Amino acid sequence: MLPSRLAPSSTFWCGYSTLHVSVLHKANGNVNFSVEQVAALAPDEASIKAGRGLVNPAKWPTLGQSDDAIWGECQGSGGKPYQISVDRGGPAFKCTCPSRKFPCKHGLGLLFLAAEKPALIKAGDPPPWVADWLASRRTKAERKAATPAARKDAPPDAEAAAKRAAKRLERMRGGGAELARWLADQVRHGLATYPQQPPVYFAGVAARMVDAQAPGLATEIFRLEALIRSGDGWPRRVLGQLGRMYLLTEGLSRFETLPAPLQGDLRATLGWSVEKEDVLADSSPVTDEWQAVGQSFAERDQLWERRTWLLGGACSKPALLLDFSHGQRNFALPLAVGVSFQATLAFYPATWPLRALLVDAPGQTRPLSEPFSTQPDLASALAAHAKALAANPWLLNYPLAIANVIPVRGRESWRLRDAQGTELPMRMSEPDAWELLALSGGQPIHVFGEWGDGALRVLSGWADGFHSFITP
Amino acid sequence: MNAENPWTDLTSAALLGAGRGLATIQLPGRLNELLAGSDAEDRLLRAAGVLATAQAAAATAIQPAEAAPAPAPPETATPVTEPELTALLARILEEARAPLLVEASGLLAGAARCLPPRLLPRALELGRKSSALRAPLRQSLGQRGAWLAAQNPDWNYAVLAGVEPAEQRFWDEGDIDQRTAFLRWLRADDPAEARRLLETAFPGEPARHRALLLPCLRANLGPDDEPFLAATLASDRSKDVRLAAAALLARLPASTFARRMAARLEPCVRGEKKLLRTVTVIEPPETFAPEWKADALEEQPPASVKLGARAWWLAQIIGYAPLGWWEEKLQSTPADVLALAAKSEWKAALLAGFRAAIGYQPDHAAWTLAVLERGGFPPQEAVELALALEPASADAALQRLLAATEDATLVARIIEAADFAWSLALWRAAQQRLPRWLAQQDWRFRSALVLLACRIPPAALSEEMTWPEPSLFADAIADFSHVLEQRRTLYRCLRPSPD
Repeated sequence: MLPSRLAPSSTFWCGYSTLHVSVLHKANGNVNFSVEQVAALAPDEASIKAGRGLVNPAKWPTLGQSDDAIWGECQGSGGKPYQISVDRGGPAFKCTCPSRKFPCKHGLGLLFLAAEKPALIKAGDPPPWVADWLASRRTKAERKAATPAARKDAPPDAEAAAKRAAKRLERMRGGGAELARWLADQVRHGLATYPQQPPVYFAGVAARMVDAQAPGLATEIFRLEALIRSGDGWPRRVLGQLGRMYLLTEGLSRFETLPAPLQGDLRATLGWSVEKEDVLADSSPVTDEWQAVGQSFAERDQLWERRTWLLGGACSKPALLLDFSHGQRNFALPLAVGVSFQATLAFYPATWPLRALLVDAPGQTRPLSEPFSTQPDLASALAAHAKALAANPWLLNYPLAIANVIPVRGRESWRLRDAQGTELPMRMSEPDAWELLALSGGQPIHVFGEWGDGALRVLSGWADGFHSFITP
Repeated sequence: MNAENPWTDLTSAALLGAGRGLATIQLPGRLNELLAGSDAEDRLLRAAGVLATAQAAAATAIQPAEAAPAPAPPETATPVTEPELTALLARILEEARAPLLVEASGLLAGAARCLPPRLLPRALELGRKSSALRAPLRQSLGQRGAWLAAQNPDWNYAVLAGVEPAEQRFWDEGDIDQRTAFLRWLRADDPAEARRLLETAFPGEPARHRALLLPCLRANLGPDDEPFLAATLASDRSKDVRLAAAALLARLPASTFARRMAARLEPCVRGEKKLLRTVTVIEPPETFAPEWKADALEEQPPASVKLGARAWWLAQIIGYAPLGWWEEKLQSTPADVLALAAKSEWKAALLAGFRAAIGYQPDHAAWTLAVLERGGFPPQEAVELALALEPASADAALQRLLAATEDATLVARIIEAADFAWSLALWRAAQQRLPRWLAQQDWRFRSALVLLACRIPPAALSEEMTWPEPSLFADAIADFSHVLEQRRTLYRCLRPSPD
């Protein structure tokens, strides 16, 4: 994995933070995907726009749905309409159009239409071109299901795995030692010339960290680069980051001596992922009604990362689901925010567990009917963060849900003011910030966001209902 | 070492380079133990790492100097919360089709509803970009919208949203756009008071505002307004304001201004004996009298006017003179007057004059129709003439034009410019010939088609449309159906039929 925890520079959603009407329509007994869920499936913004342009019954001579699938024929510019089928389980798409994008605009358009105008799609039996495809998918899925079961039966070669781990640690440690020397060089020569350094100055050392199988260290170097351009007072932030990287190399140099949870923290930061099987085997799973309260997307080098924050309804614990998708923003499991679902989570080993895996597919989703659980004020939220940081000093983004805050527009920055009258900086795109202000009307609302680098990046709010701000 | 802020020393050492004699680094309290025994560079880096982490953990909320802004006042209208309507309004704001925005805003206001809070910034942004949308949007922004607008200078135009234009605040605090809205409202309610208010404020206003405010008197214009208008015409420093005053005086056929114009016309129209009958001859004035300047008449034709100087004088005088004068003088109908004009060697000047006159005196329906039918204008010009009329007359005139034209480009122009509530008859006239215009595959018509869906009168919204199939304009037809569907939903949600 490659945890890209940088403040992302991509502007994927900017200007298109539109219509997050997080209502799951129920039509003919079938739960359709919500508009925002569909948007989250799109490979790019152009596809969202094109798909939304197809939310027009006039363009669909045929429309239908069953328990398993939604299908339709869409009139394109050519003579024969395209045939689109969507398997609800998945969801999976098939379309006869020549587009190389996946899902194509027709598939998205069909789901947008199902989300916005569910009554238009009549229930019925799938026509042969849908039924055949569904059947072939079922067969493939069964064949696939049989294969990993066979592999699981084979006893894991513990010895070989340990050997591989030792070899990787050796390479990473070599990378760490090199980075430590590089860091010492930096402060010996002075940082004054940093703003004039070409990107290649950092790209080289970052590439060597990737070669040393420590992609997390490369991410730290990108973060360093971003901090150089962070405006007034950059030397202090840059030096803090250099120090952070130095401590990481020190931790790496004595990795084996650390307790297991601390090793987990370090592995997460270094980009040495723990195998899913190991997570499932080692952790004590937590079953709860999980509320999906925030989501963000980021992209680096064609790799899309989706971060979904959950809050346990009973345990009040936060959990982070990380999903990756190569090339396109197309994730296997559609996860919408503003809903809750019954699920069992296995947490990755850590001193302050946050990242988790779904042990099995989540249950039926329900729209959130009540506000998510919150800290009463900014001070207690920050105290929770300090506690987490004391356990895991590498934490960069910490989930905070805070009650009764008012967004305030300062002369140069946006802030959140709590019931005690104290304030913290908030980080949102300008249009989103105005929307949050509009939602509050100057009255206290609940917000959820990621606290990091001295500001809260608001991902959702509760003001007469749930409102998400999906940002890159 | 700076004990107060260890960062100061650390950063200056790091900026210059640790090699250049770094003082022994000290961290506060027990943190210092973490630094024991390393090289200068290692100590610097470790100190920075430890300090940065400690500082991140020590983040505290700050006590702001200013008080929080007052919350938004309670809403008087009911904000939309229904998912279907919310999604539709979001879509309409996203697609930003002006007529649909105006209609949605008006329907919301009519139902005592306002936009959901989250959509307000988008609506306010649209108003910032297009001043034509401001007044319509203000109707549906509610108190929350006004409160929001007060916090962003770009949205200043909406600060008084949710306030009735009837409130004196509109006049006292509003921008020029809001002040004209107030004046128009007052003029409808109490014409004399509106004139008195304008008269008092007039000397203190800049010329641009005077030129915008004066036309507000057009509604309920009467003889009582003449003294103020005449004084403005005589003494205002701005030509635009004097022209606006003349345009209003021309609407008062009994005014001394209009009578002066009639008197100037008198010598231009005379009977000439030819053989057995008298022929009416129309000739422009020979010279431009100096006192004409005081009546806003211009000596030199502007560049946009394709008339000679004398023809231009005649056209202006006809424009300002009462239309009734012609009927009386020649003892004939408007149609006959026009027939006469068409034969005159000064035809261009006469038609330009009559065209201006029906603009100023729209009550003369007979003249309007006569000018449109007998004016001999090419269809393009006839359309422009019809569009210049008051909506009711324009509607009637366009019905005839639509029923007669085969030119899809011209129809596109009508659809784009006829920005008023269409009568059912006008829509029927368009609907009937729709297939013929579609068949022409005109690209301008294609892009106007979606706008036509905005022009359908509410009474006809529920009717099914049939389209020729297959059509090369399938996309435009789909857009048409999409907008039609949006309007149906708007009316269903916001103005349900009484049954």
